[in-house]
Amino acid sequence: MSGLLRGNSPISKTYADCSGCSLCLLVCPVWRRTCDIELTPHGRSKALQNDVRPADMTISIQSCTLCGACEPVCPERINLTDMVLDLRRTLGPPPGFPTSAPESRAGLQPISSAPLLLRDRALAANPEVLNHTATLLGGVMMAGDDGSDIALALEAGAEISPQRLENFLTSLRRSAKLIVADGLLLRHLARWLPGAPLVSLGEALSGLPEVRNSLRATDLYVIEPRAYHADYQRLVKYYDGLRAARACAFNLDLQRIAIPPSAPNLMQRLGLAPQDNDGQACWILHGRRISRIVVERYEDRTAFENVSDIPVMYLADLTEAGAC
Amino acid sequence: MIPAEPNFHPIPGGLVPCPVGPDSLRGIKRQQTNPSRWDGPDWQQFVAAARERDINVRETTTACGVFATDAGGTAYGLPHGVVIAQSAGQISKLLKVAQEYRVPVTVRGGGLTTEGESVAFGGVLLDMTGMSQVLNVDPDGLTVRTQAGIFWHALAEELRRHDLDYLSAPLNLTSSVGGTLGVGGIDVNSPRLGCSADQAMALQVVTPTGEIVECSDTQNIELFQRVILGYGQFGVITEATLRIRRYTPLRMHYFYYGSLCTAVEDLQMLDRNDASDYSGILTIMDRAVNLLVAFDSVERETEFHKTWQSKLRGHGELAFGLRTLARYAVRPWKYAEAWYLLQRKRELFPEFRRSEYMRDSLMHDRTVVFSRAVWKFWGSRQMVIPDLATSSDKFVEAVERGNAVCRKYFAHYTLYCVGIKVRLEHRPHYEMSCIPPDAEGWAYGCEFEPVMDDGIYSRDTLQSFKNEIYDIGVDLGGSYYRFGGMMKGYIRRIFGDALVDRHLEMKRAADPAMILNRDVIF
Amino acid sequence: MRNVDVVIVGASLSAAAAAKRLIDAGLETIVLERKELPRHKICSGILSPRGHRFLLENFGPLPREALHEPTSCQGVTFHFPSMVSMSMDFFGGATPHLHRKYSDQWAIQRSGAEIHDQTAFVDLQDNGDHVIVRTRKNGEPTEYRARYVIGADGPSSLVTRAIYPQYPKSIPWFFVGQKFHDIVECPLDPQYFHFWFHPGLGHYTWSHARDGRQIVGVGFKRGDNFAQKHHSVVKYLAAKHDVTLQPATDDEGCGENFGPSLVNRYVFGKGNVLITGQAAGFLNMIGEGMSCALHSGAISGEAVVEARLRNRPVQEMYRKMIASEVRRTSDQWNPLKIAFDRPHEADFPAALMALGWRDRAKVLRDMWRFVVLYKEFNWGRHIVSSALQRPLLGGYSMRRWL
Repeated sequence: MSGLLRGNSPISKTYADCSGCSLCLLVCPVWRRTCDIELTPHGRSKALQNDVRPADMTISIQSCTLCGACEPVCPERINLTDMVLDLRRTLGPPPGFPTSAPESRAGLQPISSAPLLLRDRALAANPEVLNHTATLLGGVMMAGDDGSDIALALEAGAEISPQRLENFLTSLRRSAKLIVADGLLLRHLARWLPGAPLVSLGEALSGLPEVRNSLRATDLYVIEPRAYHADYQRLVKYYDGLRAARACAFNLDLQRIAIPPSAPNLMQRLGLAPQDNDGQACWILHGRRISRIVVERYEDRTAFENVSDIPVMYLADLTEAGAC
Repeated sequence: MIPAEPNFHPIPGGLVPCPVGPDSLRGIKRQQTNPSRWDGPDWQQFVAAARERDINVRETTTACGVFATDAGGTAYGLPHGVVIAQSAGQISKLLKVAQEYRVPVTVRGGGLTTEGESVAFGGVLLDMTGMSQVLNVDPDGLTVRTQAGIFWHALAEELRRHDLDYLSAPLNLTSSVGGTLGVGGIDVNSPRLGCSADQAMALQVVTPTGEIVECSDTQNIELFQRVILGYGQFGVITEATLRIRRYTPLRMHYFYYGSLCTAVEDLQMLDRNDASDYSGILTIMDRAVNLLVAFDSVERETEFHKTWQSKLRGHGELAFGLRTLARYAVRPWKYAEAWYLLQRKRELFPEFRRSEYMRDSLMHDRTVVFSRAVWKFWGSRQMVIPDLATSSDKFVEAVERGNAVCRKYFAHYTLYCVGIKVRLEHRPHYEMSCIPPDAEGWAYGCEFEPVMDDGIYSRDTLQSFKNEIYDIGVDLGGSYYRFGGMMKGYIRRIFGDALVDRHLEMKRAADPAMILNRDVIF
Repeated sequence: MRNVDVVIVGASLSAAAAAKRLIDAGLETIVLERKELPRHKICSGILSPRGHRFLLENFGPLPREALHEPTSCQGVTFHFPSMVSMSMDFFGGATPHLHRKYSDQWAIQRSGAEIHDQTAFVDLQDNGDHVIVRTRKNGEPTEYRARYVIGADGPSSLVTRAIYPQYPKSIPWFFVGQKFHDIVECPLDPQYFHFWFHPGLGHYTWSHARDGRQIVGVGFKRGDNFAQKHHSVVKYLAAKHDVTLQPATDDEGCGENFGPSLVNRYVFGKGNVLITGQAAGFLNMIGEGMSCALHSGAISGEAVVEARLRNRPVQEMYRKMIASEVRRTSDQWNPLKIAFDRPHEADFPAALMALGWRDRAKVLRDMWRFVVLYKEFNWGRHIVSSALQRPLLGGYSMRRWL
């Protein structure tokens, strides 16, 4: 089972394949902010090629936001996200990360074939929004075990007990459809449950006619980057179809890579360091003439509300707004 | 140490004995292109002095290892320390201290040089990408002021938010503005707009002695002329004012040829008659030659259809496919080649027609489409792209001879040819540059790009290939247009001692300790 | 025990080239030399243009101290028993006449590597992720721990012996000796290296000028008598070429491995130990070994750099990269290449065609008689099969390499 936590394919390319082209810099939110090549996939790969030990590049390893933007642009097709996750596992979780074993959630939900919604942290903290989202999706069951502890452990480089993972996966195996709000978890589920009917919450919601039809040409639609980049080849076509249909703007750059609305490092994401304005939301809005911002991920609202007066809406709330 | 008076008999005939037996060098104008590492006698004092002036010098393997080689991947060298550029003021302080302690400073933008020009053989590596801010966009005057470490792609991202675009840049997302202005740069619109460096209107330059100077065609003219296409010898470009234009999607047309010569002649015919907005040739070996023609506006496209299209001797995709099929049908011993062509077509063509970049059969964001394809299909850890630039009339010969060299070394390769408008008003910039001295109207450039796949080659193999291409340039009296490739080994052969020595004198005057990019051309 | 990235055994030109590549890429490198530097080295000092180019491009202009007098060599002159002589100039002009004692020291110093001289290699042990190298420094045992070892210690390589104890017995050995004579009268052009295709004189017979004296040298199968062989050459030169020399004032000689380049039987090492230069079997035709020593040495360094960056086994890198140098070197011995291409750095076919047809026929006949001298080594079959392989494979089979 622990094999599941390693790279996804036997021929996966590694740091050793980095040719140093710098294309990852162009889409890396950490580079946009710091212009420091040491904090980019390029810098990490070259450091490893030069025998630098992971312990001597902790800051770089923790700075990655795991947005996954670098992967689709890497001409060598290196699994750059896996590379950071592997390095984080080598380092172990940062001090302050809860070391106690996560509560066992096995048996929290009956094993059924109904579509399941796996919430993320922000939705879990907002039950009303969550219920509304579930209702909109029609007939989905709320997953009792949403795997949020697993997602967190993945991100932080903490151990995940094989038993815990197996319990979690068992609870999902029979489901007819899995709608996953957490992009990092979705990426891993695609690997752990090959062939499973997985879809991101953003894609599920934007596929609903009532949501889709509420999008206007003056909207800025903000794609959740992690899920998007994990399945880029397919989703770039999907969102291009949405653009053609609704004429709205997206948080995409010229390479059709999603610009993340915020770029917290590991410590910030774990709440161990204060958030700050990293300029990502400003860059997304820069020079755009739009009247409304629509976010796929509930918690992305804050990043925009902090820097602009343009109304921000969560995707699932669109139907009501569209009506008025 | 080598003893001062070793055992040897005195030389009859009174030859000058030092430093080289002159007769032993006859006919070979070569020099050290793979420099020795600077031995760093005053490095520690330099670092202390730099830190006193708030300059952060990073000396870790993590910092230095990133810059061990350039895109060419055949020259290696480690800097003693790395400085990430922050401002002209910081660079000015850095250069002043470097002059004082005689510490070499190598400036790197995107690091896309191919012969180690942006590799630091000891000393400081100045990473210009730290200066990547766009300072001011003037949509009415159609100019932009930007920090020069910025990647062209990052500049395009900013300009597109204003529905603007740069004029011309290398088809490579990670070239930097400053680096390109220092060597040339070409694009498929170069037949109309000239080389990428031609779009610079004014520069802020930090001279080798640390002066911050604004220069243009009207202010500090001489410095401007030397810095543009100057291989980084006369200053670090920190800011640039560039001409820009309104963004337009592209109306693309492809014509296919079986003969290089015909395609080149047609390309030159289009350029002479200003028949297209973009033109260039991209080949699969010399078997499938693709002439690309594109337009910004429907008017220009209509004019082309009316007047010029019928004069082109190329074919459409289907007709060319049938002809090629017929060709290989009677040449069964060439099936491997035919199979390769087919595979290449299958992989390559969809990349140029990705639906997310095509709207109403117009190509959007051409630079992204082209550049990503370039990296995907030609990029590798050793970018081997020797090039030639010649006057129009020598170009067919240059391409055909270069093609023969490619065939000799590699099974699979690509040629990329494009015209470069020679801007009369920029003549003074062109001295000792990528523009061949005898070019009038247009210069023509060709890149010779082997498809290396996963092949592993000795550096000597790659360098021999490149040298054989460069030798054609010497033979034809041309130049090398792209990134100033192999200028150090070839600059004297191609431009002659008198001109190079004149520039060397200017360099010595401008950079007394010879610290700035000292291993690039002199 | 010193712990370094790479230990190079030998401080010759191939070692300098390898060290240059390694130091450039930031690898900590130690060069071990048995003797005290600068040290004497038996060598004609005649360098091909390609070797000269390598020195210039990697180490800069040569200091005067590193050259013998005459300081340069224009080319090679072949002499045949039928008394036809043909001179061939090097492509690209004259090349330096290296004084190996100083040129080697100059190059190794320019490489930037740390040099431990008076340190004799004794043995090594490859432990998979590192190699222990045992040496003697002034008689005292010392040890090094390195990730990679490069054996660049010449034809009688101890590193090769350490990993392939049987290897020296598996190849024929030659002795090459030279004597130095003060000149009374010497009509041989001092600007050229003179070589005799004469089966009666030896397997390898040459003469050239150095520092006011004339060198007369001869190579032969190990076991023959140097003094006798040399005497017959001096007599021949006096009789046929009017060369009058004083009795020899100095003499020297060494064992040589001529065969491996001819029959594509190179030895490149195993595990983390690479063999390069003449130790690996690189030798150009007419005894010029410096250009291929420099290039193969550089490739061994590149292979280590690439193996580290790409996280691949170093042997895989080395063998893929060395293929080009094998082609260049073995091409020079390949009869098809010699007949239809120009594998050498002087134009043999053109010089041959410049002769009248009678002389041409004599030259070909004499060359054939000379080649027959080598019959006993049974190289013919391998040379023919390699020559046929070359156009089919685009190179020489890697399977014959050790």
